[in-house]
Amino acid sequence: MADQLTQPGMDDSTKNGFQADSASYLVSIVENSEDAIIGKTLEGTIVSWNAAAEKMYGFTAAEAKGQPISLIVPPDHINEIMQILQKIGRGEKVAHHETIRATKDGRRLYVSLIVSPIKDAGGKIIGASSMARDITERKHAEEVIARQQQEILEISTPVVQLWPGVLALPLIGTLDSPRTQTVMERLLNRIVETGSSIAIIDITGVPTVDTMVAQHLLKTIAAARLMGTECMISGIRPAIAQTIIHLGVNLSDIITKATLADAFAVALKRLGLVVSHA
Amino acid sequence: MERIPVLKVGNFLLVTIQEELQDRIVLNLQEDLLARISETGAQGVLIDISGLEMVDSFTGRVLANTAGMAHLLDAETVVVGMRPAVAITLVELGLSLKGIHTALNVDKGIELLQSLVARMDARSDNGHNRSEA
Repeated sequence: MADQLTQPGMDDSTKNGFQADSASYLVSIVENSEDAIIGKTLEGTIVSWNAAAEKMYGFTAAEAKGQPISLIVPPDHINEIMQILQKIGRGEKVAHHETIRATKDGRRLYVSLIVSPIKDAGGKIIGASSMARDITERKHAEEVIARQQQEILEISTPVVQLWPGVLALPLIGTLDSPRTQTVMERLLNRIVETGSSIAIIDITGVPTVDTMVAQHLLKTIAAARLMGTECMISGIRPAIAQTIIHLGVNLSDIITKATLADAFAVALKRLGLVVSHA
Repeated sequence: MERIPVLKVGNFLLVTIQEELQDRIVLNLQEDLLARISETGAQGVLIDISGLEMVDSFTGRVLANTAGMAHLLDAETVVVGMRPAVAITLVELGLSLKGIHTALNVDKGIELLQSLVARMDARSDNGHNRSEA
């Protein structure tokens, strides 16, 4: 290594008293890193603490050095740190481990950790170095996305009352299994709330139906029947009718109508109501 | 041994199940119900399960069988007030209780029973045997 560094081209830097593997060079890399880099013994005592760690956790290097690593670990994550240190002791690495750390002022941070062993000149493992990147913002963004997905799910599955005793569920957009599940539960709950004896599931706005979705719909209809409510399906498109038959899904026990209006007419008839011109 | 009361209302029998069912109690209920049907000549049975938060496959099957047996004794059975969670569980268990009539509540159940009985009477008038006809 030393030979390579004194080769032509590298001469300028070596002349300036600057060597790429010199301790000060490596210290500079660590000190200027944006990631919090912490060195600790296998027992968990902090031995080094860089500038980014000061910034991230709020403890100065002087405050942190010599302290146990539990300084920045929330009480409910203490076991985890011991497991990591045991792993390091066996010579294994821990890469991209996402966990929670605590700061001096008590905030909780989401961090992504890379922990690797520190060896002495003889190759014996004497400690662990961990690089932590603050991913709190990303985690919060993920939480926002998850919440919005839930909201979209709720917005897109309304159950409307067409008439006392008649519910309609106009489904719009692609149905995936979690969405169909939500639909199923919501419809059944609304049936109980409104005491409706007829429910119309309108799938005019559904572009495709696969086996899973068809099964979910059938289950919903079977569950509604057990509760004493009859379900009808309306608005099946020609392409979906083809798929349903090709998939071998049996809808023969269920009333299917061309449009929501037709299904509503059947519902009114069931209730003994007649529509007439005034 | 605990037993669930079977009430007679008009020419129907009413059973309200309020608590979680043990297998033994369900079987007792089946026996009592069938005995009462033949004693009273009831034409319909209403089983209200709105108090049940859970129904296992055994109970589901016994209820379905009871309905079938009652039918042989010339009485129609309507199960009323099943909760959504119970309905979902039964469907997931593959028990869709095809032979059983269902209604949302006791009122609707009685309406349904009356129309079922009327239909049965109409059929027996057309030549089918019916004891008290």
